[in-house]
Amino acid sequence: MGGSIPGGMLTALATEPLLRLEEVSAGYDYHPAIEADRMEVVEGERLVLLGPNGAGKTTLLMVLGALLPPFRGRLFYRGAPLTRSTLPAFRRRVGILLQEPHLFRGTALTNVALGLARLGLSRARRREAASAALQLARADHLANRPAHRLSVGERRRVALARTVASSPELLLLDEPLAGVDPPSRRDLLSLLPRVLDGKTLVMVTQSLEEALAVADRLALVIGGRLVQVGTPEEVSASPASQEVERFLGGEVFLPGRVVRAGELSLVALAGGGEVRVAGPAAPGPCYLRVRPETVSLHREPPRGSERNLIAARVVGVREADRGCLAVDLDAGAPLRALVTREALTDLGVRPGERVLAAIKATAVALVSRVR
Amino acid sequence: MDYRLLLEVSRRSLAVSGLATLISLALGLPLALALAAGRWPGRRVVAALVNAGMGLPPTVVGLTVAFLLFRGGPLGFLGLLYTNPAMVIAQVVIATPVVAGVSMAAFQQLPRTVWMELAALAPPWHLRALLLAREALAGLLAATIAGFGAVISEVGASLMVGGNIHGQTQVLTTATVEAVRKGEFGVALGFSAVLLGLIFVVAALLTLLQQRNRR
Repeated sequence: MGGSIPGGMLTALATEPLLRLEEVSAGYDYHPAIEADRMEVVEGERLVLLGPNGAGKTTLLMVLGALLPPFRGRLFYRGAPLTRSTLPAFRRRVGILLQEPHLFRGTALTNVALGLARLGLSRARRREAASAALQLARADHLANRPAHRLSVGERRRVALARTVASSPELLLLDEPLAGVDPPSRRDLLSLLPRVLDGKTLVMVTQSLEEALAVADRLALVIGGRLVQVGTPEEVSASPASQEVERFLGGEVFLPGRVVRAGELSLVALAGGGEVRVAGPAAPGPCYLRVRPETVSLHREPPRGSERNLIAARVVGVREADRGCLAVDLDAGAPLRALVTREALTDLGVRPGERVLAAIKATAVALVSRVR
Repeated sequence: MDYRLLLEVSRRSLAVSGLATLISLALGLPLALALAAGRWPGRRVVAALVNAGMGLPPTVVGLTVAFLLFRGGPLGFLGLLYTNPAMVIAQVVIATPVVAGVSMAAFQQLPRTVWMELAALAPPWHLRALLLAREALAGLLAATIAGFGAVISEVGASLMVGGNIHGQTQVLTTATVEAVRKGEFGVALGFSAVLLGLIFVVAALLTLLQQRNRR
């Protein structure tokens, strides 16, 4: 080959990650709530901190937003350690939405304008930008309402407008959809692309569904530790621990795209092949949530069956729960099947060989990606 | 009862104690904020001193300020003893810990999210102070009422540094004491009634402000 390195790769090598954490331990009142060996937030990505309640996700986000000084470890912003002198510049470029955002006395508009106070703009510019942000969050009708008379959903919308008003390059959102009724939740979620507009996002959630809808990469936080970071397909294909696997419900996430919506939606998988999925879905990128025990393996297409078949290569076989075997597959994207020992013996496949993986249309859940 | 005297003494009381309260607000609020929000060495010690200062006996304050202002004292050259400014100084010493102590509690009562939000929004310091003051408004008005109530009703310090000079430094409390000493109970009751009325009116005004902002 020689000589030609793609330009994109060069810049990727040259630029530092937007944020980097090293050997961090942080918490409250001398009790560490989160430990993370190393973590990076790459510019332009959507990173979702995912984990159960009380796992330390919020604490990690507070460290990333420099709102909580860690007991030990350091935070780097574009390669430079964050210090007292670099903090104001960091603050100007970062927008944070707290889990329970506090709205101050005054109207929704004055609250949104507060998000611009650190930029040193003129009063007129502040009002203008605040109005624009309210509009972006589809909350312009709330502008002159007293902040303390807003409903939970409205408050969050106004708080979101305040967070993005300063056009930060990095958004840190702590459970932006918690405590919001399902219709508003969908509505808020659909706002995200407009609000993000290519900015870097770190979002906390405990909902796998939300995480898959949003994330380029997942950072799993379980039991006060950052345990694994990777794309949803990577993390689900090779969970770092049993806890991770359990939290992900043992599922495998296949990236794809809904190419035809209808009673049976047709999904083109990123790794090649097509899968029919029961139920309506919006066209566009998606993740398929596949339970490995519903995946069966075949050498020949099974006769008289409506099943979806995906060509795959066997990567390896390992012991799993309840005397079953987990067969790791490469179907363009990683896939896993959970089969009995007898079934595998009957099939007689070895690592490296090609098989057909069958996925039932009704056994797959589809999550539309927010783009 | 001499109404002109009553009016004159009442006005002096209101002016001296009102000014003392304003000055103690100017001193006490920043101190309260620094105590509630700051992380600096000696913070706890100062907080303890402020809390103890809330119970400072006016006579002790009066005596100390008088010592300072005596002609031979360190501040004697100012020539302030037995003047209204001397009373203001003594009352500021009494009211400041009260204002600072109650305000500190009010600031500390604010939910953690308020402080986090302010850290994230990072507004300039004067806006930050204003936002905090508005959030803690009810508590800060309570501090103001407590501070004003403490100084307008104290007698020991005013007597010691003011001297109860007729037409110059006589205030409602010292006038009441003098009337009682002379056996003029009717006059004493008159002064007392005005004092109570004054406290009530000021407290009512501040309460109105305090409750108007109730959520």
